[in-house]
This record gives sequence, structure tokens and C-alpha cells, in this order.
Amino acid sequence: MNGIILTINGKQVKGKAGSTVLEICEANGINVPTLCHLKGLTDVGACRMCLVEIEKERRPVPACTYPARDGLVVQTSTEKLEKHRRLVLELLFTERNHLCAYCLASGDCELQILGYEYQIDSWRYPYSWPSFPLDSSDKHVMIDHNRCILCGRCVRICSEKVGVHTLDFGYRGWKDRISADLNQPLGEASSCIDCGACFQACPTGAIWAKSSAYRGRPDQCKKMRSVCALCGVGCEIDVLVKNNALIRIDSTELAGDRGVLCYKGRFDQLYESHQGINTPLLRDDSGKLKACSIGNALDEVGEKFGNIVARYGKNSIAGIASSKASNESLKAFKKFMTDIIGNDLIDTIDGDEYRTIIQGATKFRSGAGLNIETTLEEILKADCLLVVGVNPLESQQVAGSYIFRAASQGKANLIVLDVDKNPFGFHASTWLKPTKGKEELAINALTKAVIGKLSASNAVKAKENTTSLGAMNITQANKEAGIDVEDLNNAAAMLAKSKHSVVVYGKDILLRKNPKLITAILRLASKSGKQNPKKPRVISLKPRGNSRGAWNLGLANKKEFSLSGLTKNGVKAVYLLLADDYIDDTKIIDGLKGAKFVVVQASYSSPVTASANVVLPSPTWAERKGSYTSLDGITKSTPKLTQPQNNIKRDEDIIRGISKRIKISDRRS
Amino acid sequence: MAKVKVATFWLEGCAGCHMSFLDLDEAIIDIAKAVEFHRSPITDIKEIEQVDVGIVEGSVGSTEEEDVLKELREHCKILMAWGNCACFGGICGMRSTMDKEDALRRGYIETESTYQGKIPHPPGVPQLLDKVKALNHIVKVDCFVPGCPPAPEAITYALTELLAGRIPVIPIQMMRFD
Amino acid sequence: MVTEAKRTIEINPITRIEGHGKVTIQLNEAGDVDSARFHVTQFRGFEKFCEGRVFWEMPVITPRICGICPVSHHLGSAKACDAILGVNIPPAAKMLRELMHMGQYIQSHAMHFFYLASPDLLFGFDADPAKRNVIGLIAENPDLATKAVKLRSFGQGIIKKLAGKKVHPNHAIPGGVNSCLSIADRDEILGQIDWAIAQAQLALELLKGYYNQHSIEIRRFANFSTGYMGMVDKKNNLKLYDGNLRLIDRKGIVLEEQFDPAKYLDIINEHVEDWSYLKFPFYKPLGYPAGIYRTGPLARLNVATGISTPLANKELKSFKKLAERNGMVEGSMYYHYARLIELLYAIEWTRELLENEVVCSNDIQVTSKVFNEQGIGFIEAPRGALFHHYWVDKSGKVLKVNLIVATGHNNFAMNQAVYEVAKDFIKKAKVTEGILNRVEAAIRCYDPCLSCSTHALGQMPFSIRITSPNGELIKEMSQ
Repeated sequence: MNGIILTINGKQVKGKAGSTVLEICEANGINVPTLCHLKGLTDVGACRMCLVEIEKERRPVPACTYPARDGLVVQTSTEKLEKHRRLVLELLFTERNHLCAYCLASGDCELQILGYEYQIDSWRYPYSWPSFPLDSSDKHVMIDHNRCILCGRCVRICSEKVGVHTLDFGYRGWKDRISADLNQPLGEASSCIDCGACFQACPTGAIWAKSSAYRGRPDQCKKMRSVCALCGVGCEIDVLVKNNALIRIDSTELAGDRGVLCYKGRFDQLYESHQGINTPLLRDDSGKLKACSIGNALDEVGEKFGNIVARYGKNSIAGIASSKASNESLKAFKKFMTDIIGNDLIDTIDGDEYRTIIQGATKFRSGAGLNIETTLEEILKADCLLVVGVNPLESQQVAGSYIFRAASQGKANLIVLDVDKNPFGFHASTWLKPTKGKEELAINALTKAVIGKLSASNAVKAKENTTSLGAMNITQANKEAGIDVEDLNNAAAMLAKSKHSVVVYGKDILLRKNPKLITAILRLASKSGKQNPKKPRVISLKPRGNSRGAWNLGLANKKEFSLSGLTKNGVKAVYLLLADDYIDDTKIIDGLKGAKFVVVQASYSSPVTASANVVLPSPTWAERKGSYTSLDGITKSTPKLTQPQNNIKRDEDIIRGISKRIKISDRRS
Repeated sequence: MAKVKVATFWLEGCAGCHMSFLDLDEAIIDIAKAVEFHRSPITDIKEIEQVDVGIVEGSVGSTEEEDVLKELREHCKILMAWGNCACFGGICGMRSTMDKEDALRRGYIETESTYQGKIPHPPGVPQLLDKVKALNHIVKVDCFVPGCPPAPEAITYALTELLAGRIPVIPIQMMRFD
Repeated sequence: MVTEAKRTIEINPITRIEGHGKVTIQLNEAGDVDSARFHVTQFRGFEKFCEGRVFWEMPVITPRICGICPVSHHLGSAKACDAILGVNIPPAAKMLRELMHMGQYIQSHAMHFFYLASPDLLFGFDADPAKRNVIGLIAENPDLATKAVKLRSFGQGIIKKLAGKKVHPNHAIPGGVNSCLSIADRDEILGQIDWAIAQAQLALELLKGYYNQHSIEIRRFANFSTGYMGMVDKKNNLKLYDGNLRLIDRKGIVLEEQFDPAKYLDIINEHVEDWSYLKFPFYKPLGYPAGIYRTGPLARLNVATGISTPLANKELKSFKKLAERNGMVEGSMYYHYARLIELLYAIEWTRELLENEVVCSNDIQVTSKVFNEQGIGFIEAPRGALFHHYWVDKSGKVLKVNLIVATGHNNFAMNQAVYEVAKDFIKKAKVTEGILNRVEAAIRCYDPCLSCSTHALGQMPFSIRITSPNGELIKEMSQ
């Protein structure tokens, strides 16, 4: 793009052609007041605060929508403009009920800041004192129309970045207001995914979060850059901390490409989800778990582990970790099991999913591992998206939002392949609903159909290595798998035609524990248009926040790992590192029954901690410095956001404490 | 130097602005040296006399308050609005978003603890206005000190300016709406 | 002076009280007092305009009911919100709320005594009205005035340390408080306690000296029997933040012992007169006006059998010696004494709170996503019992609000006090400024906070209006 030169306030400034006047002002540090502008969203010129005077223009124009041209002469702050801006502010203040005195946004409100800056100490205009409702129906976000200035930032973030377009303007004229779906209370608007982007986008107190109400203004909080470790999308967040509590979680760059957050990451973490464990617990003679000192707890674990290994050998202790733990905790845990105990009886709670993915990938191409997958960014570039066996809005909502955004802006076709009950299918242009258990057949049929639609030269290439599909009779297969032939052909045509298709699969596929499904998905992806046959664009939505990290570190066992099987065959003790995961999986609880001695290291009380002999405390995500690896393999770290109660030690320190106390006479035995 | 004659009034409000004035603490003792207080909630003078500065806290919600404000305007050279209610209508203004009769009915008849209620009315009590108003929507106001309540520093600033013979405009760093 | 027979005297505005009101005194044909009314003349409608808001906002909206005791509304409201959340707040949060409450008691009681009441005591009821105020006090006794200012400022300072500002705090939230107390701030407050106690004792000395000089007049002044209501702890000791209700009737018989304030609707109803925006609460089982009672300092010390801090408890013992035959201290002028004993208690209790290390803990909030349908908050505001009662829907939206404010409980008593004083001091239509000031002083004893009363009600100017028995205005007097 060519550079252009403008004169702003008498000074020559450079800019890029295609920018708006406001963008050039911002880039050159020239302050122009704004309200409806939010960097990253389409500008609409609604608020008129950024009016500027441009030579040869008859009237002041909004800088945010005025295209910059070479040679423009711009004034941003003349007496006339300041008078206009003051007028705009007075009108905004008198139009609705702006009562800062009790507003939860006071001190964090763009309208208020401008009110101060322009010294609005009285309003000349008659007040309308309208009676607008406050919509508190949503679980997390409330909309007080009395404080709305109709800037439309919420409407634009909701459609342009979140992709759901729940919010829009309703009514007309004086009654104009933000409306959800077809004028539903927000809590009943089915398209809303509760991501809270509207709250962060709102310049006033019109949209606010219940979870943060009156708990502290941003200027009273410490703001810390962190990464959300809940689901593996790896959203970067700014956490506002006050009095050792999380007050509010914001996106670091709301209108940026990866700025959207979900309700879990933004709101749920502000509530205590389960009963916390703040002290070590030891089962006493009466069989009850009683609080004890960390020293006593570590002594007990060290002694028992030592005795068990001495008596039954090194293969008598198994370790299980949750992939929600930080990389640092997991590394220490793995080292403990391999170096101190000296075995490889270790797995993650999501080990089955790991083995399914890896075995499937190896079958697709020998030597392929997790690295065969592509990154989440590819979704945003996609022109065709295939979602298999997962509702991303439940598991990885932000990934779902990327899919929506790619699809809703008309760029990408969305195909969903899953059973009836997956509501994500309603958003798809084509929804393939295979009979349960026939997913593999359906995927293979689709692959064959795709090959059939490819241009002749591509098809020849594609047919290589697909001999296994050669015998398949599509119509027959379709009947068995219960898929509509027309839908199948439509979907195949989209995939074949696409230049940048991405396949996303998840939970329901992984639960089948069938590696062949993974192979089939990889093969389908590799046949679609313009794909790298060796590394097709496929992403698996993994079960836990740090699954990829745990798997990369080798915590998940390559071999089948069954807790009940192990306890039947000589394992006497189990060591579980749950960190801040809450586990009530009966399979694990039942598996523990066969063990003599169970140690659980966890942040929260759960049925698993209830069945332990020793419970060791573990700091939560917020209470420790640590790093987490996103599901597409990017590692980010977070500082310690809050001090844990009773100064609970880090997992790795506790593990080191056990290592020191354990006395294993002959580690080689 | 002759003392500046000041009257302070409290219309529809909560006394918070006067309290914020008392929060000047020891500075009040200095101000008392330069100022002669006339009618004010802290004195026993009931008449509205001719003064230099009239300071008003609260908005206008009844005919009586409207009359008092108009009378004060005639008796003061400079009229200062003190606090959000006087400057903008403030929290008292929230009554304006609803029907006056509904509010009275809730207050004196429907409230759960009220027994055989009735709605008070003139002459025992003043007539309420339909909408609560800021001062400048009834009389000319010369200066404004917003805030709920205004910070003691803003009050000091305003008084100091007035004593120096200037009409105060609250500087940006002292502006406060909460 | 006015000599016409059959007239009404109106005092408007009543001054040196916290609010707006007026008094009308109806004379009979002989020129003696027939009836006296204390009107509250402002209405603001908080009960109605809070409908449709969300309960999180209530602790920040309701302080605006009153700039003098915003902390009471703030905390009473927060307690109602805790009940909506159905949570017990952490110990540190409770202590910090109580600390702020003590800050308010110190500032409010100190302000009332020094700024509003003491001019009468120091200069006399018949002094020149131009001098009879705090500015006069500053001129006459700058040393005392400075101490008064500093003591009030000490109380306000505690509020500011917790809330960031002195008037209309934002500290208590549903489920706790939003900031903790630093060790430096704690030590700073602790360092001033001894000084503050000395000032409270100085005020007590001043008041006792005045009582000794005027013992007969004081005892007689607006002395009448009513019931009494106040908050007590499990041992019937004085309590101000959290406790149960105790009610004693005009004969000294206990009506309610350890009564759960959440059931207040069972025992408290409000009567309405069409000439005042302030309602008249009464004890429901006895009806109106038989069930009228007083609240505030005098009532609290009448219902309490002890005080948990030593100096205040010692004073309480000498206070109890002033009791009438029913065992209650009844003279309205003794409100001042009770108020200063509470001032002493508040300072002593501040020290006890601060000497507990939990007060600096940062465990100060609990949250919940589920809401009860109603929440009731009861607290002793400086002027008496304060009830906040909210009904919410499952999203947290406020459906209904009921408030019974401190000053309301004393409404009947204030009317009674005005009548008693007027009857004693107005004979044959002879009215002097000093007498009118005594009428005001009778009201001032109750330290009525009419901005509170005017949440639904109004403001309190004072002038005297004289009308004939048929209501025709004969003469209007402003003193």
C-alpha cells in the first residue's frame, strides 16, 4: 500500500492509504475523543464525538469513517468542534438516566471521563427521565437501557467477532434500544452464548457483569496478563485482582482476531466452584480425614510409599495426573514416577483420548504424532469447515465462536457431521446425521464422494492410497449409516471445491476409543481441496485445558492403562495429581478401591479426595505461576495471580518433599 | 474586610453535601473567619435575608422547594448548586422516571408494614412536582459543584474562588459525578 | 409575639436537625396549646424507584437516603443482600463492616452533640439565634470547637480508610466487603483511640455539668412514657451491628425478648397521617397509638442490661440511676447522655475490633449464584432501628422494597415531645423565640434524621404557623 501525507493540526503526518482519518490520528498520537469506535470493529460514526474539520468539507465529519487521502488538511480541535462535542455530550447525558452516583461502571466509564474532560457540570437541556427497563434475566450479564448511549459497540462485537449476532437495535427513534434475538430477555435469547464480549465492549455501565459488580474499579485492581487454562484454546486474558481475589477477567485485545472469551473463562472462574482444600488431610484411626501439617502428611506419604516399594517392588505404585495441571506440576510428577519410584505406570485421566488420536494418526501416516494437527488460526481463514462429533459451544466455546465467525461472514461453508442431538448442527449449511456407531462408514462415504467430485487430475492423485475405499458402494453405505444422499453430495461438493478447508473433531469421536475414526477423518481431510496430503488441516478439540501439554510431556501412557486392572495385578498404591480438576468419574473411584494406599493432590474436595488416605493441597491455576500448552501446541505462561490460603506450596515443591522423604533401599530391584 | 454573607439551603436531598462541607474539618474554622453564615441548616436563622452567596444542596421536588429556591435567587448575588441533585437532579430525580401517584401509593399504602395507609397531602405537607428538577431548570444558577457528594477539595476550591471574587468552574481533576 | 387567640403556630424550617420539617402548634381559645404536630415535608420515593433495579445496586443507592448516616443504610442494605444470597460473610468482612459502622457512630454522635446540640447547652435556649450555632461555638470556644471537629473527623476518617470517601461509601457488597484494612491504617486508627476516648469523656463532663445546673428542668423536659426498642446481643448487652430485638413497654414489662428481626413484620406496623410524609411505626399487637415506642440511644440503653466495654458500661450504670419508677430513663434530654455513652462505646469497641488480628485478613467476600426470594437487613443506625427489606426475582431484580427508617420510630415521640414542651412553655398565647427554640430542642433530642425519614418522606424546615381552630391562617412566624 502506498504512503500518503496529510496535514493534521498544521503538522504533516504520514499514513497508509486505505486508513481512516481517525486511524491516522491514532497512529500519530493525536488525541481525538471517541465513544462508538472500538479498534478492530467496523466504524459507523454513531456518536459524533470524533468530528473533525476537513478543508473544503462544508461540515465537520466523523474522523472514524472518513477515508484518509493524500493532501487532506484536517483540524481535530477547534473552538467550533469542542462546542459540538460538548453539545453531543450534554445530549447524551440528558437523553437517558445517567446517574453515576450508584453506577457500577463509575470510574470505568468512557462517557463519564469525557464528562469530566469537558467539565459538564450541568445540563442545559430538559431531561427526558425516560423509564427504560433493566434486563437482568441473563446469568452473567445485565443490560440497563437507562445508561445506553446506542454506540452499537456491543452489536458489532456480537456479530463481527463473536459471530452469533444476538444483539441488534430494536424499536425506533426515542425508543431505540439494544435488543436480543427477536426482542427476548437476554437470558432467554437462544443465540446468546454468554461470552460477555458485550460487557467488555460497552463504554458505559449499560452492560455489566453480575460477577464483578462493585467488587473494585479497574484503577483499584492489579491488572495481570495471564492465559486461561480451562479448555485448551489458550485465550490470553487480563486478570484484575484486588484483595487477593479475582475481580474481573478481560480479553487482552477484545476486537482482535483471538479476542473473544467464553463464559467459563470470563465469569465462572470468578466464583468458587467447589469446596477448596486448604490444608493437608490424613485419614485417622477412626477412618476420618483430619487436617494435619504438611510435614506430617509428607512424612506419611514418604514412609508408606517407601514401605510399599520395599515390600512389593517398584511396580506397586501407579500415578495418574489430570491434564488440567500446569506443565511444571506435570513434569515434576512424571520425574517422580520414573526417577524416584522407577516405573512407567503413569497415565493422564484423558489417556484413552491420547491413545486414540495417536494410534489413528500413526495409521494415517507412520510416524505422525500430535504435530500433524494444524492451529486454531486456520479456522478463521477457512472457506469450508467440517465439524465432526463435537459441539464446540460446550467444550471449547471460543473455538466455536471462530467457526461461527468464519461461517457467518459468508466466507465459509459449515458442515456438521454428528448425531441428531448436537445442537451445533442447527448452525450448519449441511448437517449429516449418521446412525450412532456408523460414523466411520459415514466419514468414508463422504471421502469417497469427495474424491468423486474432484477434478480429474486431482482425483487420480487422490485415488492413490485409497484402495480400501475402492470397494465401497456409496448408496449402500449411505443407507446403513442413515445419511441423506443429497446432503452427502452437497457436503462432498463443498469440500472438493474448497481452497482452505479445515476439519475439527472432538469429544464424541474421542469417546468411541476407535483409532480408525481418526484415521478416516485425517484421510477425508487430506482428500479435500487444496490440502497438504501429509499434513491436512485437522484439529482435535481435546478434553482438558492442558491435554496437549501433558501429552507432549509423555504423561499419557502409550499402552492401555486400566486402574482396576493394575490394582488386581499387584499395584498397591495410587498417587493422583488432580491439581484444580474436579473428578467424580466412577471408573477412577472404583479403580481406587483395589488400592491399599491412595494419595490425592488436589485443590478441591471431590469424591476422589474422599476416597484418599492422604490428601495433599494443590494451588489452583490462579494461585501459582505456571505454563500451559494450548490444544494446538502453543505454550503460554501465567504469573501467580493470588496468594493461596495457608501459603499452600506448589505441586512440584510438594512432590520434591515426598521424594526427599521416600527411602527406597534398592531402586534397581 | 467585610465578611461574605452566605446562606446554605437544603432542598430535596440527603444532607450529604452539607456533610461533605463539614468534612473540610479544621478549614471550616478558617472559613468561618471570612464568612458570615445566614440561613443554613447549621444556624437558627429562618428568614431568607439578602446575602452575597446562596448555596443550594438538593433538587426541587415540591412547590414549597420551588418557592424557596425562587426567593433565594432574589436574595443572593451568586447562586451555587451543590452536588448532583442540585446540578442534575441526581438520585432524587429517579422519582421522575415514574408516576408520582404510584410512588406515593407504594410509600403510604402498599408497603408491607403500613397499616390502613393513606396518602399525605397539602396543607399538612407540600404539593409534589410531577418531575424532580435541577436548579438551573427553575432559576439562573451561576456556578455548579457536581459530585455525590462533591469532594471537600471541590467545595474548598469553589468557596476560595468565590471569596476571591471569581465565579468558580470546577477544574477537570476535581470533577466527580459519584 | 402574637396575642391572637385560637391560632396555630408553625416553626419552619426546623434548624440544626438533619432534615426538613415543620411544627404546627394549635392553640385553643384561651391561648393554651391544644395540639402540636411535627410535619415531615419531603417525599423522595426510594421504595418505588428502586423497583426494577438489581439488588447489587441497593447498598450503593440507599445510602443516598441520608448523607448523615449513609453507612447505616449501606450496611443495612448489604445485610439484606447477604440474606438474599443466603450466605454468612467471612469474619473479617463482618468486622470491617462493624468498624465502618463505629466510624459512623463516632462522627454522627460527635457531630450531633457538638455541632447541633451543644450551642443550646453552652449558650442557653434564650441566647441570640445569630450566635446560637456551631459558628458561634467556634468564635466563643475555639479550643472546644477544634476538638469537636477532630473527633468527628476521626470517625469520618475510619469510613474513608475503608470506603475511599467519607460520605456515601461503597465498601459493603452482597456477601462481604470490597477492600481490606491495611496494617498501617489499622495502626493509625489505634494510635488515636486514647485521644478520642478523652474527647468523649470531655463531652460527658460538659453534659453532666449542664445537667447538674439544670437538673429540674432537664428531668421535666419532654418526659413521658413510651415503649422502647433496641438491638441486643445474646446476653442483652448493647449491640449495634448484628443482634436481636428487645422491646419493653411503657410500664417496663418486656414484650419481646431476643426477637428475630427477620420477622419484624409480625410486630411492627406503620400508621400514616395525611399531614406528614413520615409514617408512625407501632408495636402491632398493641395497635396505634397504644403500641408506640422509642428507638435510638435512649431506647437502646433502656433495653440493654449492660455494655461489653468497660468505660461505657460504667457510664451506663450511672445512666440507669436516672430511671423512673418503671425502670426506664424517660426524659427526652437524656437522649444526649445516652448518645455520649454510645460514643464512648463506639470508640472502645473500635479498639477491640482493631486489636483482633482477623480484621486485617483478606478473606472478605463470598459469592453465590442462587438468590433467595427475600432479604431483610436490620441494623441500629445512630438514630435507631433501621430495616431494609427487599424482594427479588431469580435473576436478582428487585421486585419490592420496604424500608423502616430510624427516625420514623420516634415520630410519635417527637410529636409527643413537641406537645409536652409547647404545653409547658406556651401559656395564654405568649410565645417567645426561646420557647420556640425549646420546642425545636425537644425534637433535636431525638437527633431526627429527616433525610432518612424522607426516603419516602421529607425534609424538615422549622417555622411557626398560627391559625384559628377552623384552619384560617392568622399569622405566620419565623421565630
